[in-house]
Amino acid sequence: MPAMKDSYIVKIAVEMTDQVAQLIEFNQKQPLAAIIQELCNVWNLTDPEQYSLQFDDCNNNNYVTEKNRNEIKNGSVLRLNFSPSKTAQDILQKLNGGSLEEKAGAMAKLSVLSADMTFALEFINKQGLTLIIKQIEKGNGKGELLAHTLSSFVELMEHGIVSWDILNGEFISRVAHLINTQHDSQITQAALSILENVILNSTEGYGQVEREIPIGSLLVHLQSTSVVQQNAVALINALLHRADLAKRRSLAQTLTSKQFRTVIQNHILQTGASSGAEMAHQLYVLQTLMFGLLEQRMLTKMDQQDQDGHDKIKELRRIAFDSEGAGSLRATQAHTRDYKKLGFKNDINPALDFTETPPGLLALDCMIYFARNHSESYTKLVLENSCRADEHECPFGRASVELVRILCELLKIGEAPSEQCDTYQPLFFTHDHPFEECYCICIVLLNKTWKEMRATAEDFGKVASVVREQISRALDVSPASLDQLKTKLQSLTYSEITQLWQLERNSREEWESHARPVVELRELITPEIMGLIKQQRLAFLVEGTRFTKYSPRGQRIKDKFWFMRLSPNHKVLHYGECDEKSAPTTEELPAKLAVSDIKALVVGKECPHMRGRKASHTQLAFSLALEGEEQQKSSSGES
Amino acid sequence: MWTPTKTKKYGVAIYNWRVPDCRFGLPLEIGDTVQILEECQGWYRGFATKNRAHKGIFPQSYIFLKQCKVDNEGLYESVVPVEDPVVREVTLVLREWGRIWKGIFVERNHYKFDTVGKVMRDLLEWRRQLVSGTLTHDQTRELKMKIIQKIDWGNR
Repeated sequence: MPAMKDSYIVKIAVEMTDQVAQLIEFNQKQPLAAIIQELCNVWNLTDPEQYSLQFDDCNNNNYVTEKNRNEIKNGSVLRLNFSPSKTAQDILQKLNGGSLEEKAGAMAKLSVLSADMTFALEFINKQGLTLIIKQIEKGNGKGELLAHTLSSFVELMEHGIVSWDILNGEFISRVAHLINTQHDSQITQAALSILENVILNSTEGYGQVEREIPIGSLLVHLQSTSVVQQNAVALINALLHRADLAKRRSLAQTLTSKQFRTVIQNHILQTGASSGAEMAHQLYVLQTLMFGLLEQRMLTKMDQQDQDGHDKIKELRRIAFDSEGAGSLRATQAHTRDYKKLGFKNDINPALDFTETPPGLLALDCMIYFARNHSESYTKLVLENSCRADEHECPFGRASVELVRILCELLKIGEAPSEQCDTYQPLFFTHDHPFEECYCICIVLLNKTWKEMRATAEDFGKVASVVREQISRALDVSPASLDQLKTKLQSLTYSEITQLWQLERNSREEWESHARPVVELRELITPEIMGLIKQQRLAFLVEGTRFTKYSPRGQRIKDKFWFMRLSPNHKVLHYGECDEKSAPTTEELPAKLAVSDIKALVVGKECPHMRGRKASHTQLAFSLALEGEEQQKSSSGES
Repeated sequence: MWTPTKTKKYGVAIYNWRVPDCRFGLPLEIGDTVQILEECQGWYRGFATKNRAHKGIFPQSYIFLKQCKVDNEGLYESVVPVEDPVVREVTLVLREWGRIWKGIFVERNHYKFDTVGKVMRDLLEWRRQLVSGTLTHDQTRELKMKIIQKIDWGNR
């Protein structure tokens, strides 16, 4: 029969505990209640309104509702079970008045069922959530029961039916206490997740969580099982996210401390726990939030009155040029000269170099960090360039500003963490000033590339683009440490980069050569080229060729040659004997062969006179097969 | 309304524009250079520099505009593309040599054919490097010297 009629009927099986399964035709147009009624009739069940259909495992055992029923496909296996309402009622009854064992069983069941929206709605409507919250607040129950209680709560809240604002301080304290003390990983994991949500979703909760959870207490959870680690990082992220700037700074300081870093290194990055998508995402968020701290400096222009900034600029000069430490009496003119040597654009007032944002003052911070912490490389770099007098010096100041700008861009400083992204750079968890360290490595690289390119001031932009390419390619492989970054950058020399660019260009051109307009153009030109080739070949034939003579047995005859050439009108082949040197004219060649008589041209092994001879001999052989006769003109040319 | 173009004067076809049944269309091959006279709602009117006499219209989207300098604006204007002189010279040299090269091929002067071919390929590659703009000044200067020497060699 026509498919139209049957399209809303799916053939499915329905199971029930202790019953023989039924195979039915499920009519999508019939109300669910009616279908359930029919099923109950077959199984002799009374009160059909107490039953509901459930999907199987592949649909998370969700209840079938009028909304999701079109997910039922041919061959689906459904289950008839007590309805969400009845089940919720039963569970509540047991939780309120059952024995300890019954309570535990009900709670375990609840933690599974809560993931289903339909059930959750029923349960919450029957004041189930309030009961759960009370249970948690009271703090009675431990072990598995508590774990199930907490995870039920998490699942129920997940649906977003109830606002997180309903939770009171006592509840939060209780959960915070669970985190601050040692518990089973299932409990900790749920507790961490609850507080993360409290911070992110409730208006009041953040302050309390922040007070009650010292960041240090999370340290132990970062060394736990992977789900706990994940939730712990998520909680840290939530804390960082909601904190004001000052608070965030102090949090960040703790997080970049050696203690924290070692734990993240040893227990997350190196154990492979970081390879999961969710963990990677959390680490990405953490990194982005930490980088976000640099944003303020990045977007701040240097103020002319900024004493701290001026001091830093002076210090840069002092570290580079006053190694004796007694240069305080130098004249302003000398200073200007020094600033020029430092490669500032505005050598009279270098502060102006930091008025562009980004990178703003962040560039100055990086430079002073380099000068203070790596003073040897710094001095070397500056002196090396200030001593050159050939226009090939690399301007340290200008280069630094540009480099920091590039880094900010590549590392997306100041961008809000995105939901999907999960790319983080493990190396930035290896140092308490990872950004500054990264800059220090890259400024040395920039200087090296500058030299490799033999660049002048006019090439500044080009060097910057090469350096940008070097850094982004190095970061692509996610180096695990600053040293690995350094090594990778060392291997990506300027010539390496140009080679890579060349390769990319070639492959692009290769691809473009197959583009339609190019192919069409080629087709258009082909006849002309073919014509040229023909012209060239004909000219060759007209000029003629001398061949060695062979005896009929294939023996070469000494000092005997013959010559063949095409007539200028391309109609007749003239041939005849000749000597070793001469090239007879058409008139001098006695024999003729009309081109129109030639039936075929065979070459190589196909030639009759080449049969049974070694391959090396037959290479240049050819024969002309003539129309209407068996006679053949053959030769094997040697040129 | 067709209006004379002020700055959009010169461009390169980036696609083949075949005119099936259009009396006023100007057929273009990819790479053809065109001089533009007027524009109107997504169309240009002008001529290909290889045949200045034949004027016609073609779609704007088929043309990549290039910077140029207009002399003698008005009816008898002449348009010169603003390009690096060396790049331009290489383009012209390659066009001219291409013709000569075909002649050499027919003449069967193998040695000359091979050498000229190789030099032309070199010039093509160097021109590409110049245009790509990734070279430093020093390198550009060196490359230009190299190119000029090669062209001198070829002209002899």
